[in-house]
Amino acid sequence: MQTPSQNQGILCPGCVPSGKAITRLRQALVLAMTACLLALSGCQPLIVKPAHPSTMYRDFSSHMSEEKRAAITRVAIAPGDTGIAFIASGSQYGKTGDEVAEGVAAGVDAALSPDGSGEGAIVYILMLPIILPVAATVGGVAGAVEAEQRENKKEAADALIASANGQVANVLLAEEIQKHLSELDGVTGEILRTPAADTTLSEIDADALLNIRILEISAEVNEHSRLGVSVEVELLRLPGGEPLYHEVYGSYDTRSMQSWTANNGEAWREHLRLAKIRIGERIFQNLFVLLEVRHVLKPVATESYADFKQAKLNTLTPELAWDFTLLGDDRHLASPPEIDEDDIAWDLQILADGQQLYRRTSLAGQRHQVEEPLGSCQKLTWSVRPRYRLPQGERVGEWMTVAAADRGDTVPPRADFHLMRTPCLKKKSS
Amino acid sequence: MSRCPGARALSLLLAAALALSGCTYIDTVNHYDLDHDQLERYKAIEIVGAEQRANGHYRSLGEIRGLSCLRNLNAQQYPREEDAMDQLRLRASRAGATAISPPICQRSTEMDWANNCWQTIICAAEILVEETPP
Repeated sequence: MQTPSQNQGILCPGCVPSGKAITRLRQALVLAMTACLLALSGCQPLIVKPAHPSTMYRDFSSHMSEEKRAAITRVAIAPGDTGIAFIASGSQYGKTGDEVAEGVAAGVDAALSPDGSGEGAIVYILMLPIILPVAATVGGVAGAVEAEQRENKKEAADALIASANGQVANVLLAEEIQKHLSELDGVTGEILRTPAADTTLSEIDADALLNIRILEISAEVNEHSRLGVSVEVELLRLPGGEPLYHEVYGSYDTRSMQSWTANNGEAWREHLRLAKIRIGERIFQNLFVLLEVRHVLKPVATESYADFKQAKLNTLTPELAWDFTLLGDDRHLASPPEIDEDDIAWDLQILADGQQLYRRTSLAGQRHQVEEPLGSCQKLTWSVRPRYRLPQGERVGEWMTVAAADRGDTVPPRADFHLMRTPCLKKKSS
Repeated sequence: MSRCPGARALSLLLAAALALSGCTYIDTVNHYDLDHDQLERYKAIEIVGAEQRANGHYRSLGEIRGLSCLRNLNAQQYPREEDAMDQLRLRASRAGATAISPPICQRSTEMDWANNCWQTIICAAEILVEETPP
């Protein structure tokens, strides 16, 4: 066994052994370990690379299988009639009792708005947990309902009560899904107006029953605003009730919730409207039309759109192009489809602030010149998705997104499309 | 007073060399990192056995490895051999290969410091290019 001095002699022949040898060796060891850690950290992926801004890749499926889709042509949609859980947190509501009372009134008005959408009711129910503690001093919700009844606004009072029970919100979501179904060949959807609990499955004249239940709406209002909506979806085969599909969808929206009661709760309405649209679309796609095959889809530079980072266009009618590769080996699917790559059509969308500005469906080829001039000086987003023509009908792939896709049960408020900025054209002086 | 002035520097150098030699980081390649031609090659990469290789005209480009890694214990996405093989094919394709030798895959439940993984499966193979006969 070597002594420290012998050991040091090996390292450094001719060195004078010293009483401080061990101390120095320790120092050297600490330094060496530091160097070792530094060297290692240089090759560790401790910082996750941002997703490549050009494509989507998926190797799992969140959609219902074709085998299950095959036997469904008539769908009964049952909106949930159970209460919705509300979770509110945060301290920066910034509203006084009087302002909240005005908000209550605005909620009722919006619920009975001329467009008949009833979306104001959702605004109202979302406001309930925030209103309740504050509004106690001005009569509270019960007082608001009583006031409406006194003024013979029974409909308004009913709307409030229905909203609180969650019926209105669920019906609106059901209607959103029904709207999508009406655009699909070979499948129809009817909304059950009587509560599902009061109906036996054998009485329902349809191939499948789609139960939709909004489970929870959560609002966090402070410097980090966040609106969350979760929805449980269950599809049962009729008349037996065999489960075909079950998923809980989560939608989140982190846009600012400042000024939430301004303009009759416009901000709330907008948040919830988008949540309804996005969740409804996602449910419809996963159940009936989405086909998640492994693929890479990314934009291709054109003369008018070349720099994806700056995303500056040089014309108001840009040419958009994309590259698509099917990767094959779709073992995540029960029965991988045979897709003819030469027979894929394309849907294209351009959005302005999340709203659809331009849409083309079933385009041939992987290149498209925008046919109507876009507005100048606009920040837009765009995307394409494949449309596969299969023996069982048309199926669509996911929209091309900037980041790698989340699981299909997570629904962001806005599709994560590719950015493009239209040029700012100077107006001609007269 | 001579106290072995070179000892500390020597220790540092040795440690750094040791650390670097153990630094066998295997980068993860995403499908979207590959261009169209590379993706087509990735789809077509074949595994060439000894007999096929002896009868064909293959040039070796060296060895390559593919990693599947448990990076987050909470995520519980355990390493899968098919993912390691997919990485192997992606990296081979990026390196210009059209074929690989039969791969050898090894599972490890030891910490992999270099790759920042709790568990790993690493597949290794020789990457090959098929050349047209003279």
